[in-house]
Amino acid sequence: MVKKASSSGGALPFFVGFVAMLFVGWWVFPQALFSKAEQPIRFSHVIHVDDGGMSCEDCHYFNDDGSFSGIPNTESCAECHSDVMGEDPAEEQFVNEYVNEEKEVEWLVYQDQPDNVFFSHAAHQDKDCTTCHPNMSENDTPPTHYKNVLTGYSNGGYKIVFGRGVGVDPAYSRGTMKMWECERCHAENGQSNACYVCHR
Amino acid sequence: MNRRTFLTFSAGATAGLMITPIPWKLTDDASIWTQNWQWNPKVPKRAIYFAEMASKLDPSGSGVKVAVVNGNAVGVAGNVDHPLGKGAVSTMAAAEVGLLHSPARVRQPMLKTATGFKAISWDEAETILTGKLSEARGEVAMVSGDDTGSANEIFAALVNGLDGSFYMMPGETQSAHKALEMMGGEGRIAYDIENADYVLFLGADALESSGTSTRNARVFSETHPTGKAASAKYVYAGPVMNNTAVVCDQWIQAKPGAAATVALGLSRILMDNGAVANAKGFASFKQNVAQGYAPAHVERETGVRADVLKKIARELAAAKRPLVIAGSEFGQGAGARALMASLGLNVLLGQMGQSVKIIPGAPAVVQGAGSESERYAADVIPFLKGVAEGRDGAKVLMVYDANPAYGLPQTQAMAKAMDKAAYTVSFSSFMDETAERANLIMPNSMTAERYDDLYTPHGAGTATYSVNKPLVKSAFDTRTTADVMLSVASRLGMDLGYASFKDVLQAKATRLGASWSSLRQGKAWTSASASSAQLNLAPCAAPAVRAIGEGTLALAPVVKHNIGTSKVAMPPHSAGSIRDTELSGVQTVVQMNAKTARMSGVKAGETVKLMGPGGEMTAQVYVSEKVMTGVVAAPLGFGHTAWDGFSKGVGENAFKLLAAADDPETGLSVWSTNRVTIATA
Repeated sequence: MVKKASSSGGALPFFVGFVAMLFVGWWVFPQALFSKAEQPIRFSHVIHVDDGGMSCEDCHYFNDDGSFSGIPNTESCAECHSDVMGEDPAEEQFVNEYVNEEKEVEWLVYQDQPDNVFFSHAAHQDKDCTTCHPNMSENDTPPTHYKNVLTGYSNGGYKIVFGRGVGVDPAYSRGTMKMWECERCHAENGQSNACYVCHR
Repeated sequence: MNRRTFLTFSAGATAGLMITPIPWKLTDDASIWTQNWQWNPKVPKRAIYFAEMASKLDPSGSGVKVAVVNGNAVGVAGNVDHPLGKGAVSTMAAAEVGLLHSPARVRQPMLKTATGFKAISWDEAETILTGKLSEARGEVAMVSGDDTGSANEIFAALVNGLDGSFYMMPGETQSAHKALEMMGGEGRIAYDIENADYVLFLGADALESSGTSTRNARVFSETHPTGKAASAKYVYAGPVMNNTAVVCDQWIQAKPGAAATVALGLSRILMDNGAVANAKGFASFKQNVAQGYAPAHVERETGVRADVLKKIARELAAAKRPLVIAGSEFGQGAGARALMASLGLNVLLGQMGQSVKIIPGAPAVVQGAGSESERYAADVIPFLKGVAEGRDGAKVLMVYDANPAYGLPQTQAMAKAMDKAAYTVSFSSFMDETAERANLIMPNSMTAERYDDLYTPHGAGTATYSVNKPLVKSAFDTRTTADVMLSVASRLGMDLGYASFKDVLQAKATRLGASWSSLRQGKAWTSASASSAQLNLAPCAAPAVRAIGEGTLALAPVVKHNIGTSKVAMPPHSAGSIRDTELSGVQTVVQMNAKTARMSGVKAGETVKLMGPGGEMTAQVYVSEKVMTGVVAAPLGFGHTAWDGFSKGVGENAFKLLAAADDPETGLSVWSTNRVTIATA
């Protein structure tokens, strides 16, 4: 019996398909799934912390009612930057375009939580900020903001789809938290994971 | 590629797919996507910024913190550092945020046409107003209800430049100016309630609606700690156990409008016991008081028993720092007499310069505006009556921060004045009764949206000054009236010396010696300076004005800020706080005690008609022993014919019952002693 010669090239198409899909899955897919954006102003935490001698709490503080101030508004920044202080073009841009125009900067937030979650900074203030946030005090140029176009979730400063932090500095991997992350930390710290704790 | 190759390729791709994130990530993201529909509105994720602001809606001028997120006001919190707020949030201060998006707000300039209002641009509105003002030179009038703002200087300078008339709405501030003028003083009356160990409120509802009530209430709270002994005694004298009387250590029943007579009765007892004052006009004061204010006479006139009067006089004399605060029970209509009599009493108690001080008025910075006293000199009631009756002409009548078609006595006549004036312009932020009647509405921005200032409300402890700046994005196409009027002045060819209202405020800060940058951050400026000028006591014993109306019952209007003020209708957030003893369904509830009800032949729950010298209203009767015999208490704040669904058509307006009478001694109209007749409806 004559064995019919294969015209499929053996395992090659399988291998090509396999590799092609790996390329699509690991390179093309993330490009399509995540939009990239840069901060409107190059804000340097390093300059403010090292040169300015400021602490995190100078700008990110708790209000009298326990609410967290979040990112300072232009007016707060203008307490120092009412005029251009240095020679950094980013500062000049900030003063001209935002302080003088009395406009708010549309800062891109790396750790926005979804609206269906109630998150209280006051309840978590015994934790170090870097437990959840990148250590911004070492940040001179803000990382690119990657946003999942399907969910609207931020992926922190890191574009790899899953296994956040794999292969890069974990400090830049912290984006919108998933529920399992909240739950795990709550469980590890003996806190309730009842639905109403976060979904109010 | 043949079929087999394709299938092999696909098998490879499928195998590869399983170790890429695509299926797992897409499944996860799709589930999240369904929980976060992109088209749903999102809570803005911006800084929560607490900006300091002094409330212009709150007549007590309390300072609060406004929580702002991304240019939107989201809440109000107390500001412990503000001398007039002391950490409290009054109903009206809370309304600064709640009313920003009120359905009653006027959203852009409106011009009345034959078919109703039509929206116009700001340029058109300013052109129309400029044209009307230039044609009406000599017959322009403006009424302002802003007792604390520098905007009045711009308005007064503009109106004076057009040979017109400028009026302030009547109230405690005007009464105080007139009282001081008659006694040879100038400035503002300040009460150091913080350091008083005995406080007597004569009529003045000072913990709810009179003077710096927010601050007063905080001081009361500090002096009356829960579970501990009070460090000061508070006594209220008035016809109704109102929100002030209900917490005071003692409530003395006194007829409406009796403050001056009670004060003079107390003065008489003190002088009989040897009290003297080294003050100008003391001899004349003593003689007039001795002639007319014996305790028995005071008891007949006011209902305050002679023995109670003597006891209060003893307690006042024994106190280290007594303080007497007098006024109308509902914040207007008392004229100057109550304040003069209480100042005389405070002088006798040796408290002038101690518990009571005369502090400087706001310095004028706009050329041609005149002094504060000059702006308060004219009485708007006879003017509006004249316009209603066709005696006085007003080719252009402008109304700022006031609602005279609702919140004055003889309401129908006041509303008629708006109709009879040839051209009426309202600058109201809200579609109120006055705006509804106006030919042109040029809506003012609300406090959190505009530059404005607040200088020392009546009854503050020291001179205070706050500057407000725009904290939030304007909800609608509104503008700051002061800036609009500067622009109109410029179109008329008048130079008022400033390009913007902000410049006026900066100039005022400079004149006061206050730090502009500190003011701009919302910090209040205060000054301890006080006048050492001696007051003349001779006019303090001015004779009482006869009760107005022939009814059998004295009318006691009651103000509660949760029902609104004479300018602002009930804020929707306080709708749930209205009691069934104030409103039953949509019917106003009036209160009287059982004896009064029996005397009047009415029963609890009955619908009655009240007939006063100003008009009539129907109401339901509630029998309560919190009202003195012979008095019917009627809440103010209901009966709006404009505003929003929370206020329009709800209850009746008790201002309708009131009529004003002339007081020849002071030149101010009075309406705190109205009498009404009651009949089953």
